[in-house]
Amino acid sequence: MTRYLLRRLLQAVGVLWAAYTATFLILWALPGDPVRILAGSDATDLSDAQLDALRHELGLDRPLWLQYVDGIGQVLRGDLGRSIGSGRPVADLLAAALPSTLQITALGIVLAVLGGTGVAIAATLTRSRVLARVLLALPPVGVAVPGFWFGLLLIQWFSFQLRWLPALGDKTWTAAILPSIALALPSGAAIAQLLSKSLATTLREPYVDAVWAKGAGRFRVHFAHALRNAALPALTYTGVIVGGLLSGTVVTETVFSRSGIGRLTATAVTAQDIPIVQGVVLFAALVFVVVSLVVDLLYPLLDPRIRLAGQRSRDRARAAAGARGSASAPSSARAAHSHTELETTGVRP
Amino acid sequence: MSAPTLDPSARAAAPGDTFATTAADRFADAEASRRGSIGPVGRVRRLLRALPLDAILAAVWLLLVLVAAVLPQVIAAGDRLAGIPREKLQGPSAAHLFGTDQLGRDLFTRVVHGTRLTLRSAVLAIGIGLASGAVLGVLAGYVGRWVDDVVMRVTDVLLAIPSLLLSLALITALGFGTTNVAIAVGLASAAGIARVLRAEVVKVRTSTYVEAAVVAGNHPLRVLLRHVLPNSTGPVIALATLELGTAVLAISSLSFLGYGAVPPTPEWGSLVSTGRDYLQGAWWLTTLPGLVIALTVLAANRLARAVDAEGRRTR
Repeated sequence: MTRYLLRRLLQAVGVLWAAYTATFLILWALPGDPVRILAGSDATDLSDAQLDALRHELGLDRPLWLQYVDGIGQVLRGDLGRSIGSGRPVADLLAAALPSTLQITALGIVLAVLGGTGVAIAATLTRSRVLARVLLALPPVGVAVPGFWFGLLLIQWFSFQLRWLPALGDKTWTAAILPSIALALPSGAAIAQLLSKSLATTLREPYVDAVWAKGAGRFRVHFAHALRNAALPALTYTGVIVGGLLSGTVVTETVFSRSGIGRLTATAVTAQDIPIVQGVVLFAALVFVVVSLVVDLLYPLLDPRIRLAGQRSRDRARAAAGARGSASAPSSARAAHSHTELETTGVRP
Repeated sequence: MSAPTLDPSARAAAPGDTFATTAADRFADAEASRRGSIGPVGRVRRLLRALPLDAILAAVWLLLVLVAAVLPQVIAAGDRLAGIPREKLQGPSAAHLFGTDQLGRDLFTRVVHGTRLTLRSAVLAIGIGLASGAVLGVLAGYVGRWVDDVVMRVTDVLLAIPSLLLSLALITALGFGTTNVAIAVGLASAAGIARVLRAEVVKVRTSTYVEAAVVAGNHPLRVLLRHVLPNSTGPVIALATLELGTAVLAISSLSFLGYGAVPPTPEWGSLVSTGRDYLQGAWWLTTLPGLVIALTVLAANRLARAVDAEGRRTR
């Protein structure tokens, strides 16, 4: 277990290092001249000597590899550099913007999970074919709707016409409701699509037939047996879904005028404030890596059939699963299989 | 834009299912199409007959969008830039289908003419994404070994960064404008495309007829070009359709944020962005252009699913 944990941690650090390298290459090493980008519209007014001075001040006259090594050293010390525009440390800017973003992403995750699983379960549980078709038609619409448009529609309905909720800002608690809904829609729709698909496969498993034959009711079959197995493949997407929510804040916070990380990103891109953009991308990669790590570590707790790689008990577990009754054996193979398969297809809901 | 929208079911289902078809099936199919017994026209006709009604509606909508992009004057003859100040901010009516904006310009005309810019960027993004993704995916899948490992680790990292943030980083470096936005969106989608193509190439490479071609003494490059690639292209068409939806969504989001088209040039995302200032009084300025974007993405996703399902059934 410790060895596995160590290996996964090392992997996570590796991904973060590579993410830093990727953003460094994109932002600092692309053919464009960072100094001209940073100076913005003033660049044409500045003389070459002034540009050189600026370059020196920012340490951009050093060789690229030295900037890169220095940058990594800074990041390791928790220093993400300073904003070009305001001169404030990027880490402070991120920390200041985090609470507002956390508010809507946390609420957004709850809404997405509740809504997504709700729709998926209702669609398979219902006896009405019409209702099932209507429910299954919802998720594709949800993923197709542009986030900025949906946010504006919410403002029109709930703020301007019904006057229930505030349209803009992040001062009050109620102001977080509409942005969270806007943020949750695509993620919730993706969850609904994943779950309804995996529920349909699970319900065709032989062990579900066995449960029906035992005389279990509809609800018991769905909630006590099928859902637990069906939820597992969807769980591997948690990292992608959380990442999607985080990047969704760029649009949502712009629409609702909230001063969170998304708005910070949008203004930084507009001002071409490279250190802030780099800090945000690194932060997003960190969130993705941590969430994926946590899900991977929790996975064996949720599905006892899957043992963490490197443990000798894998074969024993499989034998035990077989001994417990053949019912769970095939789905065990499927769960393990789909786990890796989903990863290799690189789906991004 | 929140989650870069792909229909997960369409991609998640891609591998595995084709195991059902045998090498002989594929060989026969390839033979038949080579002899010309069913040409491309026959294929399209066969596809149309097999598609469900909503998928055909989706295809018709996309065709309309295409016409609007190539020949906008056919659908909306008016001037997209000249407004009649007297008729400003009027709601939808028979004269102005989508109403008019703050300068009295006909919104329907602007949406129709804005199609070209949005679609041009989307097509450019798909081209860039497919080309770079295909090179990576085919390299990884066909060469295998350490090349595969390297490419997969690189895509791991790129997939750890949400694609919208990746495009934003690219835009920061490349600068603003519709072409740069398209390049950024295309490059940001490359990693995901590479994964799908790699899976497909690996599947084809390990099939019996490819083994036979190798054993027969063909040059690896010849095997790749004559046997592996033609048989891996099926999912690419479905993938390209799917990417159309994703790209339109990403591009309109980025122009909504102000990195793409510069007003007064109409573009779908920036039309919604301009309409935002008149949200309280003139709902049509945001609602109707946004509806067109949503319908286009929905249609592309629906058609992608249908093409994917049909491709899997016939192969």
